[in-house]
Amino acid sequence: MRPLLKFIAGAVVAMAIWWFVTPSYDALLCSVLQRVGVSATAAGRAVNVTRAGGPSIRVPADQLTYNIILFAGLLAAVPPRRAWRAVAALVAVLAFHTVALYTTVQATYAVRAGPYSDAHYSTLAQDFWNSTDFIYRIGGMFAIAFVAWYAATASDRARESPPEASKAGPRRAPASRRDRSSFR
Amino acid sequence: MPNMPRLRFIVVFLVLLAAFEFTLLIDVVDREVVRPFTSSIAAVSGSILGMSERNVHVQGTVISSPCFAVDIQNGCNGLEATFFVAAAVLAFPATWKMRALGFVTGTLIIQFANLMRVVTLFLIGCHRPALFEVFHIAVWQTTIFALAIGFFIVWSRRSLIANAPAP
Repeated sequence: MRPLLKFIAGAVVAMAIWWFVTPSYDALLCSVLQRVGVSATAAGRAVNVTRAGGPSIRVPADQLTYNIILFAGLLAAVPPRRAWRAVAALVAVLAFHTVALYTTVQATYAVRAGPYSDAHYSTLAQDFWNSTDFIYRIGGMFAIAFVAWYAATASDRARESPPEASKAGPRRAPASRRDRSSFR
Repeated sequence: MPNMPRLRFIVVFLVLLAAFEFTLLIDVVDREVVRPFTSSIAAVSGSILGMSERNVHVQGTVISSPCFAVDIQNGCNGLEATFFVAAAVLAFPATWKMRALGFVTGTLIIQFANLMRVVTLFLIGCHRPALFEVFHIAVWQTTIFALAIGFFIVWSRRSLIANAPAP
């Protein structure tokens, strides 16, 4: 029960931070994108992008970053033993936000910019950007949060349960007490 | 290399999840499987909402009433979280019996929770529209995936215990 309560507390705090910090965070993401040649400016909870010879687009950037709520909840419920692992996992999740914003910008120009899309993107490129954007939004963003947390806490679990416990098929398992903590 | 099984789990999980989600982009899958499934969610949700709201109508994936209307699309039909559970239980080293049990149980839990999501979101949209967006995106989506992860953690522990030899 305690991990559940910790999860809820962590998620609620993260949600409040996410809600209020998003405009500033979007500006930070835009400054990173500008380094790779994307003309992006933050506008509240969205990002405006302009392109020479192309239409201006508006991307709801907050819909790409709220996996931080799930990630914070998981970290609060089961933190890694070493703080640097939590920081490394957080950096990985944040790095994916930049990649996700870049992908969404590309996907928007590739399939939702009218004649500009067909003129500047091949069918293969359109499918690639659209699929990548879709997979990230629909579940990939949560998978990234989960995997980052899982990787940060994996070695803690390895210390608590022997590697045999994770091998395929029916196998020798540790004592039930260890079993219960093996995925903590 | 003690972390190899865990690295394998991560890689297989991500590949399977991407593959499952990719199927949602295939037209025939969307037309023949996803939309009928989503329509059935809308029908059940509409029936539940009809108990407390007046003039609730369901047409395909759209639920409407005089005060609000929602169109249930990918991302709100629970399939994404079901795929998440499916990828995780398949990637985790367990017997096929435990995997089947995990998939069926996880799917039922996720779909029940998703039904609650659709119903409560409709009610929020109807009575507290200012809160709809934050509940739609941040609260319910996080809750559904937290449920999927929580279920997977419980299931993976039990599958390890189930595989333990008799003393």
